[in-house]
Amino acid sequence: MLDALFSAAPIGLAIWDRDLRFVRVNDSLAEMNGLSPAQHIGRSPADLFPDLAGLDALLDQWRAMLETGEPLRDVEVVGSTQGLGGGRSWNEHFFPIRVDRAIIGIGAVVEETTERKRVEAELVRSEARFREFAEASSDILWLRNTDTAEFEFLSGSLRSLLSADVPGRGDRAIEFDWQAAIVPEDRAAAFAELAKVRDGHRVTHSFRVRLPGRTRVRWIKNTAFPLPDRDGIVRRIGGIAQDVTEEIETDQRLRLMIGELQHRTRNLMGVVQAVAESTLETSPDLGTFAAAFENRMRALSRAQNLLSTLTGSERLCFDDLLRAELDAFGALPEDDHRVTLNGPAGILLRSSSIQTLALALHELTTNAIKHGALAQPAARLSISWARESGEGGADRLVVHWRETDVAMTGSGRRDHRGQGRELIEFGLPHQLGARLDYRLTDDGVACLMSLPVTYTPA
Amino acid sequence: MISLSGKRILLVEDEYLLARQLTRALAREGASVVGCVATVAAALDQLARLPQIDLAILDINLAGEPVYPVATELRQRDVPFLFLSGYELEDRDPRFAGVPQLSKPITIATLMTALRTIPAPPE
Repeated sequence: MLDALFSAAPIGLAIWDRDLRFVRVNDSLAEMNGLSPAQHIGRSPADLFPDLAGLDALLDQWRAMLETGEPLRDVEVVGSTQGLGGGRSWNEHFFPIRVDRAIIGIGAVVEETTERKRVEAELVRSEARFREFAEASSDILWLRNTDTAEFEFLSGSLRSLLSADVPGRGDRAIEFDWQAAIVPEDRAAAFAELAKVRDGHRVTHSFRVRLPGRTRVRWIKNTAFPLPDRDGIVRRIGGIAQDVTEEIETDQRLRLMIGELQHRTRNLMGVVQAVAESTLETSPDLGTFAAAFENRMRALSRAQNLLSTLTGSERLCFDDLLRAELDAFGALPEDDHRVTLNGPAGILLRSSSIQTLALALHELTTNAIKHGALAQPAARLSISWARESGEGGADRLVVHWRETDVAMTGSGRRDHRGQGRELIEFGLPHQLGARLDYRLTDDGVACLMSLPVTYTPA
Repeated sequence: MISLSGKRILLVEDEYLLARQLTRALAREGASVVGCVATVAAALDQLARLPQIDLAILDINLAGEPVYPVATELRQRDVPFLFLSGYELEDRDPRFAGVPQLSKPITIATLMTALRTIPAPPE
């Protein structure tokens, strides 16, 4: 029965005599060696397997064993054997065989490990490839053991998120308290989502983090999924986390811009409607209406054109707005010697004030052309402005519109500029918080405007 | 349907030309705009000073400043109000979800209809 066990055992078995010649070999081992059992008997390993690496040293160890009786365990043997090709490996245990106390030979248990080694090597290569992939990705790949509550894998892209001076390279773990990094407001929701993953669900969620080494809060979009073991129990969860701060900020900026654009457009339509209605009220006939309405629309368009040339947080300057309005009527000092301008360039206006201010300047200009200084060859128009600092940094733009030497007879004295004057005297204070002093003096219009220009760039 | 005749109205609208147009239209209907202001601060000031306001019309965006503090105050005083806006409905503060809103540009006819059908504040 022992014979039957020896020959049929699915593991290699062999016995050598004290001269290290095969005495017995079972079928499994003979098959590994590519020989029949009988071909082994009476031969030494050195005869049969000249290509085994380190065979001489092994045989020396056998001889020593014959003296000391110390077995050899877990000996790795690599090389090739008869007819079965190279690159093979075996795990072998050698032990002395005694009769009474005398060592009469050596026994061996041999397991071929070629396939296992190949699979192991492939695994190592595959894992190296995965790590390379994970390191190259700008996303953070992570694998967390829910029993130990530790990361089994955390890809290096986290390092670039943290900061350049967080230590750790390659496989070395990055130490940081990720739970504390999530901002308090988002923490409960983030944990609730991750709890769902432990229950077997896949989740995608976003939260804000304040990472060590970084002052700015970042937005993280995280996809997490359960990695159940064979028994169905989730002991690991995996995830892919992305820094989506830029995307979210761009999205917020766009939403804001679209909202602002929509607001401005609708407001503008309301203004056009109001201008049409009020122009209609003061027009005796359609011809008058057409001319006045067109002029006002042109003034609005000019303001819109100036606004559309601005990018980002740029602001329009008062001198640009004034010169654009005067230019439309050939009333710049370089075109009309009656006009003088005196004031600094570059006083920034609030964008919400531009439309109304443009309309007010338009009313002053058209009034001057129809009834005032620009209707009479000997008259003068002087516009001067300055920035004056007020309380608490509330700077004001002070504009002095002064028409002089206007013969206040005929059209000069007539004051059928009701609507324009109303816009100046009531519109500017209402909408811009301006202070107004509008007077018809003996030699022309004198209008003093003071409006807040405080603007804190974002 | 309630009549606007004799109603005292607070108008909060930063765009002067729109405010002027609305004021005149309301006057034609027999209502009077007792306060016409462009900022939250000025509106709250008017609310503290004016003895009686029957209705309020609020532009949601006052040169970038949301009008909601005024709406909160009006609600506390049980003064009915409606919103004017250049924004779509989804941008609204959820606290005022039930408040009627007119999107600009509005016609005077729509405003009048909306004002006449504005729900009375809860008793």
